Amino acid sequence: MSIMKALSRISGVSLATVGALIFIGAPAQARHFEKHFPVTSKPVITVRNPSGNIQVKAWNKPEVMIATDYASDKLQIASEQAGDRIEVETQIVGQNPSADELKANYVVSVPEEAELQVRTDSGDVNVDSVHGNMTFDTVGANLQLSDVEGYVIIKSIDGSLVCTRCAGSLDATSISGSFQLIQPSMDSVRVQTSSGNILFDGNFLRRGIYILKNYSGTIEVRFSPSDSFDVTANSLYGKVYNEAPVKPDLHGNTRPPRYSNALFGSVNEGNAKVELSSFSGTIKILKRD
Amino acid sequence: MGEKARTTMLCHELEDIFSREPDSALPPSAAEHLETCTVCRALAADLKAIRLASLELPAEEDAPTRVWARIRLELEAEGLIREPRLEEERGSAANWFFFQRPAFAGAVLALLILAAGLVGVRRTRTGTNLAADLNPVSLPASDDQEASLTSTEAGIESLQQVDPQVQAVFKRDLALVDDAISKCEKSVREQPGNDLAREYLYDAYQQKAQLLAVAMDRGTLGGR
Repeated sequence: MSIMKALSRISGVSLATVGALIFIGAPAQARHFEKHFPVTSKPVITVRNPSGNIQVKAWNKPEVMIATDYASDKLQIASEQAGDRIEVETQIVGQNPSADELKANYVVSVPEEAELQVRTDSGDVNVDSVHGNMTFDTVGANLQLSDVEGYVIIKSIDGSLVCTRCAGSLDATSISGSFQLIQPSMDSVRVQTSSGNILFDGNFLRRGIYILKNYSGTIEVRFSPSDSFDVTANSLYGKVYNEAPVKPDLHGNTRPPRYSNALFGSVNEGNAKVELSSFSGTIKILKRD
Repeated sequence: MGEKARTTMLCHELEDIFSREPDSALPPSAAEHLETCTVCRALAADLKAIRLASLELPAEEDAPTRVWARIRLELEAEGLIREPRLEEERGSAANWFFFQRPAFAGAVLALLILAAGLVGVRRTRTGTNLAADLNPVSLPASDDQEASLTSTEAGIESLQQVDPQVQAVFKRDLALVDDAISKCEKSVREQPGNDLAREYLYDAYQQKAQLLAVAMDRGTLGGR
């Protein structure tokens, strides 16, 4: 009997312990914010979220929907609308939030022509099929843009960009982030990073200007035989590899640099302008497969 | 800032002295504080670097209002400061906070002045390298400026950045940019007529200024 009592006491204690552990280990209660904002024409949406993912996609409704999931009561989501201008922000209202407690994940649905302004520190940002102008101000957040148009401005410290089938113009700077432009259809590209790599795999549009610059790392551009561009490639301490049929500069205004490993000239009629520059990185001008 | 308890003067009292009497000799208590406080030493080095750098500006830029107006324009053009926006009405005046952190603001301004100096040299160039060869770029060779450009890591540590990942990014990229500055400076010294090297040095200064401004913005304002 005493053995039975002891066993039942032990099992009671164990159950209480297990219960307590389950309670402690359980994820914090999820919180959800969702709001719909009716708009008339091209809304401008500003999202400020220090940490977490932001997904923006286009839909064909005349409204903006913002949904946020977060786990901590140290955060609150604030939003306001003034006509077609909508702002939403993750605010810290509690003391000393941990990195996990800072996270808020956004899903934003917008009309196709919407303009975006996104400010975030870490997390992933995905934008799909939005055609308005957009600006991104990030520290370490990685951007993935697909089928976007308009004028895109990116300022980042460590964030990388993968831009797939992007059209319009791009002005992007980062310190250690890399940039990949895949099948772009852009007539103005200015990209600068310090230690990141740059890949441009697409057609150079006639009258387009493409300026790709890094300090170290690799700059790679891939061209097709029908592309027409003037090219200048300079690497002060790195190498320049070229597979393009470069002729002497048709427009005659390029002076040979004195110090760097350089390539310059025209491919076909030289309609577009391509400037590739690196301090110690490698520059590759390769034929597209 | 953690070392201020060891001295009779506090950091903010020293900052007051710097802002009220930037050119006068420091009282003994301030000197004693500087001996033990790395952050204030960095601030003193920053201010000294600004004074040295401003001496190298062209004569016509001497008028203080023009210098500061130019710096402000540069900061605005680079997006390092901006006019307060509607959404920042909750008292988070970024520019004010920017200049309330003198160590960082000093470093950023020193970098921009140095970068502006490089631009000035670049703009005087003609189609040949002759001008640069005759008038080589002046680089921050003094120990004080070196200290100014490298002492900001302690400042990044002191920011109230709550996300350690983000703080790690700032620290790592600061090291990257410092390394780039060092290599570009070496290159410019070896080849004073090298436009590309000078351009990369200018870019590196700009990147460092941008990085410090963003770090401060995210740290002091919570980045949000």
